[in-house]
Amino acid sequence: MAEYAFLLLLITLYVVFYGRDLHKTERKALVWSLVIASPSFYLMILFLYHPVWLGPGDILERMYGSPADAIIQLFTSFNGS
Amino acid sequence: MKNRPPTLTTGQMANLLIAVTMGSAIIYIPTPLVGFSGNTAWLSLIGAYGFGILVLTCTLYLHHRHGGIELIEYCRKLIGGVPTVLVMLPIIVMLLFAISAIVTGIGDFFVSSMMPKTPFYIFCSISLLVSALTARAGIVIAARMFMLLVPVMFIFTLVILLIAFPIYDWGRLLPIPDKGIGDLLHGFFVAAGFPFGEVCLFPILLSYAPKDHAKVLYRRLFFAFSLTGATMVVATLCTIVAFGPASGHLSYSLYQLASNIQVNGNNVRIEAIVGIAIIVGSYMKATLYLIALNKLLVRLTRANRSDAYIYPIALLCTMLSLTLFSGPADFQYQVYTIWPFTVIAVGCTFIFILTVLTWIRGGDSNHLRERGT
Repeated sequence: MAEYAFLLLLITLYVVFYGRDLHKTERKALVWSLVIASPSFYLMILFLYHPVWLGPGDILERMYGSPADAIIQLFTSFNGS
Repeated sequence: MKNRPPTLTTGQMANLLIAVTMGSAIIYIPTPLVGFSGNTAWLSLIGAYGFGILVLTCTLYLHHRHGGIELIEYCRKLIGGVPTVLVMLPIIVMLLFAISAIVTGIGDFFVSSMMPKTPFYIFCSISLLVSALTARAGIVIAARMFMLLVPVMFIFTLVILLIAFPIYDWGRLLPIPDKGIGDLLHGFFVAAGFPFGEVCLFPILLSYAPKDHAKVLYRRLFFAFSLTGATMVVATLCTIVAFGPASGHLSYSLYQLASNIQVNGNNVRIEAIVGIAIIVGSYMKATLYLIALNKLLVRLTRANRSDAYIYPIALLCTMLSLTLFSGPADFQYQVYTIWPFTVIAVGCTFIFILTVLTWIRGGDSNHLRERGT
């Protein structure tokens, strides 16, 4: 329950802060703002319900995990030589 | 009519560089580095500092050759509009990761050492909200505030290292090397990525620098970077001489150091001072990266307001900080393995490629014309 209240408060705060400058924001920037903030809603589901979905950490590990591990292994292999 | 872009002084720029490089690293780097490299951790740091100097030199070379224009502008000139958008995507991902990881670090610190019963998300959300409000106030106000906060962080760190002098056992520095060359290189790799390689993200902020005092600016930036390097080496040496091989298993070395300080046999409990340094450093770094990411996105989307995306980014980063890491082990892996690799392979390589392209093409024609006259 506390998590729901927290997220509600968080979204309200950011909407209020963003709304204060809304009259100065052109339509294109507003659309881009929604595009930038939209992954937050997916992350909110991950945070609230912990489903076995692809998380942001998994994406990073899939992108950079293997080469990063390979470099560390390469370095540690020098210890034996 | 558009407003003139804000300009900072050379001293403020040097201050920002210290905040970006030393910000959170002074607390997070010494202990894991000793874990990876043992007693030679400080040697790894010196090597990584050399790598950082190389990246900083390339960054300043680009700034000089392109007449102080923004990173995106000279990137567009060098490789074109569409490729610029494509190469900026990994940089945006890097900044999103960095902001989220910094804020997670603040939350972790609070929950693990000071307030274990308070939910983790409280610290992450409040930290990012404060950073977002500071970023919204603008780079000039942030830079003025950081002129006070950077010395606070720096002096508190030095005070703790000095007061802890009685618990140092200098014999713990030996033997050198206590681990193999591979572990030394591992430490170098980690430190080259975090914090020294992170200077590859500094060009985004460098366009705020004054254009008429380039030599003074470059001298001050090198000095600021060297100050960070020296402080990191001293903090790592102090961690080794205080805790020996156990250092690698501790978290927040300065905090541990402060909690072990005794005066006349009594534990003085001044670790809260280090707590301030941790939080201030992380807050400044998160704020500057938030400003940098907002600036990057504003330029890419050609938005009409210079602060258009601060709140959406802050909301996204708050949620990322709560979901990015599945646990402490995952945090360690991502921050000390994936992040250094990303910084070196993506950020630093990007700067090196731009440097080579600029060198081949002879730099910005306008700037060269100005130099000719």
